[in-house]
Amino acid sequence: MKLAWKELKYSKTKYILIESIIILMIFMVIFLSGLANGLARAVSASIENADAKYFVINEDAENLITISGMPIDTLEQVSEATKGPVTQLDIQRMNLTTAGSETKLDVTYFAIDPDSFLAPEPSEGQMLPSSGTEYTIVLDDSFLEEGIEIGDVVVDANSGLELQVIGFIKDEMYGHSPVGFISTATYTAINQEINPSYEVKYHAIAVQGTDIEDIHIDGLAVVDKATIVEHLPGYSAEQITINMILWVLVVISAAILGVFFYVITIQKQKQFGVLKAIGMGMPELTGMITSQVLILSLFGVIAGNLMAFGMASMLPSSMPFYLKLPIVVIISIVFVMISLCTSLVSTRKVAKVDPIVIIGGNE
Amino acid sequence: MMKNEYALQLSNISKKYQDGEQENLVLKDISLKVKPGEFIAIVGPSGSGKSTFLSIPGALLTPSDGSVILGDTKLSKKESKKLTKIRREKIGFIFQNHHLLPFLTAKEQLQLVIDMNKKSGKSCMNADEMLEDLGLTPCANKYPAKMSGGEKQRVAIARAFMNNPELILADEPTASLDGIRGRQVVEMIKKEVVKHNKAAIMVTHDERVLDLVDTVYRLDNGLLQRAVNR
Repeated sequence: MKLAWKELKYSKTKYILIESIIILMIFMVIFLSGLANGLARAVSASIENADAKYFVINEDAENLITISGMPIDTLEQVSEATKGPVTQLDIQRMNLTTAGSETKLDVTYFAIDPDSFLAPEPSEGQMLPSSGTEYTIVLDDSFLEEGIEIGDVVVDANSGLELQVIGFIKDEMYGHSPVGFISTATYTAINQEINPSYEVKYHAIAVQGTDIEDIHIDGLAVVDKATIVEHLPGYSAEQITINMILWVLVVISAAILGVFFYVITIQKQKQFGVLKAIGMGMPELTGMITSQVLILSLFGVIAGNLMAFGMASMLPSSMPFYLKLPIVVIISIVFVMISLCTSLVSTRKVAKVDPIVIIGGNE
Repeated sequence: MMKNEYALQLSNISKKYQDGEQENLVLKDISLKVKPGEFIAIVGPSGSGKSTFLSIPGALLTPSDGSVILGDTKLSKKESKKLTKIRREKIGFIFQNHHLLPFLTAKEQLQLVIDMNKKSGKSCMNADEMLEDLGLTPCANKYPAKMSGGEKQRVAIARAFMNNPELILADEPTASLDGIRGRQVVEMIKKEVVKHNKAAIMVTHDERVLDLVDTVYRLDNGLLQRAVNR
């Protein structure tokens, strides 16, 4: 280890160049992972944020909440079959316009019971009131960039119903569209405005507890959150593509470190020959090579991560970028592991050096 | 075990190489004994097998025939791991091109030898004393790139003595130096050999330094012969 460090220190320029390439590669990988997760979150954030473990939806809804539908008395049936709290959820994509503007803004309504566990914690302003005659909405904070502020009135484009913005909330997205939380009553009012004969029904029932064994209702299925997320339109396809790119990059960057290191090892064959001639055994030499690769890759991982996290803090909130610590940790560990594996190629090269090349003065 | 009178005993050493279809006999039935404190030189034309000869007591090559006894240890037919240990503990090499590690200062070069022998608990020389002895104190914290050729070779001499070896092997130590510096280097080796009572073998074709050694052998065509007194 001592020897390894001294050599890195002595050949600073050479190793700093290699190190900077490693840092950039790690940065690229971590950044891409942030984008992948950001994209995933743009599709699934509001479902993932929901404090529910299971959703009761139609059996034939293909795990999609938006195309499910059930009469309102289902809520009571579900409630009786499980001990924990349950609540209704409607998800519908609509458009909003702001007062005095023609531009339609994409929004996905999450219609909930304001007193239930699905009610989110606003980062600004207040939560939907339990009851009241006014129609209110809590919006994802990306609407702030559209110039909407608390107290503004937005108009539901289809029904013309005016909604008062009473709060903003961070990181609420569904299917690439920002989410607006409204109460079930507001949602019913919007629909009745569009279609006077609208009958109240729920898209899904959210279940907070895990005791779902007794929920048996004809035509309905209990689906866990992960499955719901997995089947959101576009989610799997995007994730498979980006994750593929991501892991290929992880492997390639680690392999590049291995190749660089191998080239350096070949240049240093003579040195290894000397070390062997004066009686250094393979375990020590392996230790030296491994610790150099370890130092280079660990430092690269740390610096690359810092860069990626620094960059992340400067990105605008509309950018779908989201770093998940567990994934970052896994990527970092895998990178270091692969680097160490590729260093074995260098070790093998050193093992083959015959110290006798040093005798006889052949330069 | 009784301490052996000789630091090195080579008995009937032969070394064959396969050269295509032919078998090439590089060393023919060589016997040599070296006592502690004795400094011998091997001279001979290029290609006479000097390097091969030096590699055999150096535990870098095993002879095809014959036995090598280094101090109390019989050397032939050992596994490479054990040979590595013998090189580490019992042999001090001085190479033709100093072969210091570029990334270590003079003192660190010596410290490396001490560190390598720490695990087995073998007693080593003191690095500072060794540097002082060879007039290298000003170079202690210099990297090889900042030293002169003579200084580098002296550090290499110091390194060879650091592990308190049974045997010093010098491979053309003067080859990359001019006459005066070359002579100084051999004088240094001689001084340390006497001071620490070590056996030393030097391979050279620098005839000018032969007066500094105790015995001169000539290696020609694979045969080792004591050179006539001069």
